Amino acid sequence: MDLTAWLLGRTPVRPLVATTVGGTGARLAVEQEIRRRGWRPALNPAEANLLIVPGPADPAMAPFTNAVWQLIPAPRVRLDLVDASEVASALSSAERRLRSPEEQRSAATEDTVALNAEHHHTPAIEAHHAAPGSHDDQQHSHHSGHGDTEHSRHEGHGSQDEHADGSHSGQMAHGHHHGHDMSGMEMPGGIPMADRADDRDGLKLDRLTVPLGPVLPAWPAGLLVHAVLQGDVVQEAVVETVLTPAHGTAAFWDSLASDRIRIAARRLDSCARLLTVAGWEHAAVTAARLRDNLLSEQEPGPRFARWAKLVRRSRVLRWSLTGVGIHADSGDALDRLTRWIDEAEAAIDGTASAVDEDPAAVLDALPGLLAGAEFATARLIVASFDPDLERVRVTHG
Amino acid sequence: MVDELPWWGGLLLPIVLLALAGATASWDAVLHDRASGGPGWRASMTLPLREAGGLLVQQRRRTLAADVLLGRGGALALLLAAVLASLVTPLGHWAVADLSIGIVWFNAMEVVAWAAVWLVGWGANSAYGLVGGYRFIAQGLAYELPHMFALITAALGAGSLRVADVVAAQSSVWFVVWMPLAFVVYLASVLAMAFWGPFDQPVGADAAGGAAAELSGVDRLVFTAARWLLLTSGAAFAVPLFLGGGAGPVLPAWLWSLAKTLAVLALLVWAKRRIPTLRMERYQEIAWIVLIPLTLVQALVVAVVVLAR
Repeated sequence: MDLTAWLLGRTPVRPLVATTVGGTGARLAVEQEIRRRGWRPALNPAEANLLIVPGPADPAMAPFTNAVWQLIPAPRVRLDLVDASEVASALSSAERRLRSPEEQRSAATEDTVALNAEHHHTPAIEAHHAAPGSHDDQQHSHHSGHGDTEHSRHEGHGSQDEHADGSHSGQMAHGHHHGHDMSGMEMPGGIPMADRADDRDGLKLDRLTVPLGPVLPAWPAGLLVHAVLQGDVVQEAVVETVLTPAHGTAAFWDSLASDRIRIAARRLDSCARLLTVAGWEHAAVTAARLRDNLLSEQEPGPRFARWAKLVRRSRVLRWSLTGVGIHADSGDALDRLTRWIDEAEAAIDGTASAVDEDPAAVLDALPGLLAGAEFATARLIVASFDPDLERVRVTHG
Repeated sequence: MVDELPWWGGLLLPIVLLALAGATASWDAVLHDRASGGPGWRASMTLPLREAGGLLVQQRRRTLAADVLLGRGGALALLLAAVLASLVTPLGHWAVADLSIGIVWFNAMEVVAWAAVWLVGWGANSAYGLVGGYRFIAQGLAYELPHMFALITAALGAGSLRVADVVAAQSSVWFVVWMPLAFVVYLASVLAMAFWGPFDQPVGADAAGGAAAELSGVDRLVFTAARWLLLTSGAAFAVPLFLGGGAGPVLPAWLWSLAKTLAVLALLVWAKRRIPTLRMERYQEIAWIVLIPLTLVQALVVAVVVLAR
């Protein structure tokens, strides 16, 4: 018996969801289906074996999803989903393809052919992972003479992608890891070294420009933050959106007819993401389940009250969200979470009223809030606003 | 009281640990399934095993300019440390090694995790891996001193660093009864050393998996297994340290050891569901300003009791 095929036939599906702007409806359907099937979402491409891209094909997003796809190890399957109604059948067929040795073997052959054809011609921008910079400076000065040529060669490649990505003076990175070892190069992997500058304590430290998003767990679709990191402190942040404006379409949440479902489900969705980032998987998954109940017009019942009580009463959560991302209008992250829970509760009870924040205003406020924040805090800040960029796409389009 | 096993004890140890770790992972998966409305407990129970099998057939990916030797070496060191830490943990009346400095041995093995997790995060040459590595070092600074005071308190109560003596000293009263604080601090640091549950920030979802962000295939399997084994080793060591080892009525001693270990593990799994991740940025303060003085007071109380006896 073929052991590899046997193991492959039982391999659990680890989906990585990379939503494009406009894909909220499809994303919710995907997340619900994933949860019901007992699949555990992957946190990064290395762990994933299924890439799901819910939402309309968006040329602005394509370089990022393609780069993430390159980073996923075999066996793997990619699924682009536009329509929420096709999710269940598409996921079943993806699972079958993932577990079929024949499918995986032919996919691997295709990849090799494609890789050989494009090798050294189209470097993928690494959307998910930062170009690394944990190298010591000695090495840098030692090799800088040789490195320059490598550098310019890679910059040349980078310009191809610049329109899509917009960043990258020194952050060209790699998409192909398929067994080609570049350790023989003069600079590590041909990647330029990190700059150095004073940090907040006046110490000279590496400065890394790390793109956060647009593919990260529990991250708003279409958001890209170029963060200048020193250690794990964000020194500067430049915020941009990865989306193609679309006219004549409404944002998913605004298109829902029932106020009750619209407000409660949306707030629960934001809560689920914030709780995920805060590292409370149990409460996050319960929030997602309640959200899905509402969306499929089931009564959440006493489970909602239990969940709300648990989250409101958690001292650790309160302690970790207090004072995070203080904003003149909405207070800190804990205030925003509490408001979301209150609004969801009111909406479920039938007294719907919710303050709609303008995602554009959030985008304007983010750089100021993120500067000087520790990495975990920065993630909490973004999650505690959870800007819905579908509305940017429509109104500013 | 505690006999050293012959050479095959060393072979048996990883098997027993793996079985306990597997049971814990299954239990965790079943609870997750219940909360998330998944396909049911039958499918979830086998999930850890299927995960392991899936990782065996997954491509082993590497990042550009990664330090493969250090990265993989780190994961392997974590695995070895997790198993070796349990060398001195008695199962009923048997231990693989009955060292005169057993508690120090356990502590030394567990500190290997500091280097190992950092190396895994750093070796991948990825910003998220690096952030995860930093986080574990910060976590180590927070949990290690209270943890060591908790260990010392138990050793103080027994007047010996030998685990067998610690167990013997609990023949009348378990240490958990008169050192409750040390016990709680010890359990918290078990979670922290295995960077699991409320202390999972080094591999947190917010940093895309942190130190483990770039691991796939066998590398991820080794790292994940090491983490579960570390949790199991830590929980198992709480039994001789605070819970009277294999002492108990009716059942044989080894069964009591197993039952108590599983109870501790169940408690830890429960804690994971109730408590969100502690941010080291904030926990550091509590650890140094509250926990260290508290564990010192606990040690003082124990010292006075020992002297007065």
